[in-house]
Amino acid sequence: MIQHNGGGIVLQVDIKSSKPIYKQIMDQIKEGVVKGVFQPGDKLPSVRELSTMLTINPNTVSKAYQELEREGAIETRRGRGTFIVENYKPQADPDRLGQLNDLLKKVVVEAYYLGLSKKELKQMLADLYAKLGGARL
Amino acid sequence: MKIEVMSLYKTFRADTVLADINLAIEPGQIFGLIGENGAGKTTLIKCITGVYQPDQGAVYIGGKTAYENPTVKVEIGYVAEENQYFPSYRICELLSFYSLAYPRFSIDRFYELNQIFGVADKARVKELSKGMQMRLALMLSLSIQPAVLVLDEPTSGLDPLVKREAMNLILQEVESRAVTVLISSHHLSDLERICDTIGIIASGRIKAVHSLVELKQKMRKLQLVFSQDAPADLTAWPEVLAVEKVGRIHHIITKQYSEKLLNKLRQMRPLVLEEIPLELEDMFIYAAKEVQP
Repeated sequence: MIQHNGGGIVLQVDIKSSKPIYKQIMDQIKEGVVKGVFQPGDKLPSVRELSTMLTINPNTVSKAYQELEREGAIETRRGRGTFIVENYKPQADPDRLGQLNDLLKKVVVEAYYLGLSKKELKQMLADLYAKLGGARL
Repeated sequence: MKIEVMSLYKTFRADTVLADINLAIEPGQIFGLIGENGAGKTTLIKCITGVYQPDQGAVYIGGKTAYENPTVKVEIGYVAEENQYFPSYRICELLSFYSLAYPRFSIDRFYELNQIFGVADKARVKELSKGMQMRLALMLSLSIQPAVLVLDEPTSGLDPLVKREAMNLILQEVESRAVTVLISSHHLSDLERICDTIGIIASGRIKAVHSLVELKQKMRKLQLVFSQDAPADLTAWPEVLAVEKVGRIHHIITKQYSEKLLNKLRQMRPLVLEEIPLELEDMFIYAAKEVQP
């Protein structure tokens, strides 16, 4: 993710990825928040702007924004645009907790097949926290 | 406006070019039509735009029949593969013609678009190159402020820069005016970026209609290397669409990808199990195979 001309933020899509484009946008914005690329209160590009920036279907952008809003990560202020929420309140949504659990299960299984010990996996996780990090994590 | 095609048949002499076509495209949706040469794409498009009369079945644009119906045709922006304009008209004369034919035609919009497309308005249509004629067709179709945009191979003959601009303009129409878009293209990577739904046409029939999100979820390509022999019945697995073998490397194309399938494969202790990218073009080829009896 790079910051460029006029403070506009450029996200990227990989059309070859099996991850749907709306999900790619969601993940990049969330990662951007964790990394501090997006600060609370930052304005996101409008649906029209982002769809043109990436040459993707505006419905795809809308879907990404709707999902992010549902998750409480961004908010739409009427007539003003879409913003990163000021104070994000983590919610323990059971659906998403379940998904996270599935993801971790995948990681544990993969680690086993790669011959990684529990300790080594924990170290990897700690490194990631440090790398993505900042004060947010 | 909604595009609806119901049990459409079209025959030329003894050739059935279209058979039992059923489609529905909602306002604000972008529908990509893909198929080989001669599959019936252009014939279908000409039925939808009201150029051809269906032999059986019906085409409705916003609930009304398109054929020989000017009140519907003024709502349709149609960019054909080869566009027919009066060859000796100058562009500026063509604009006067358009403002008479299309009530919402905006000459301001045309010149605004021409800032991007740069077609000399004093030139005669016949003096324009193929690419310039395509630019002209796109500009005219956008300037009539259509409710429905039908684009037959619109990106052929456009250079990459103009192509990107043209796609963005179409996306803006969808965003701001909920225009319904039907687009056919051989450039599958273009469709992949912009379409909600993809329809595959072969031998005059719609073989499959998929949302792209759904298609990407279900259809994946996995690369495997087995330490022993691969399971013999792999091709018969319900989740598997196709298996290709190169030496010890197996490529599996899934039709129902799931975590369960991965676990089933992991249990065979493959030396390698990884997902590799699958482009729309491959999906198209495999999906076309799947539907064959």
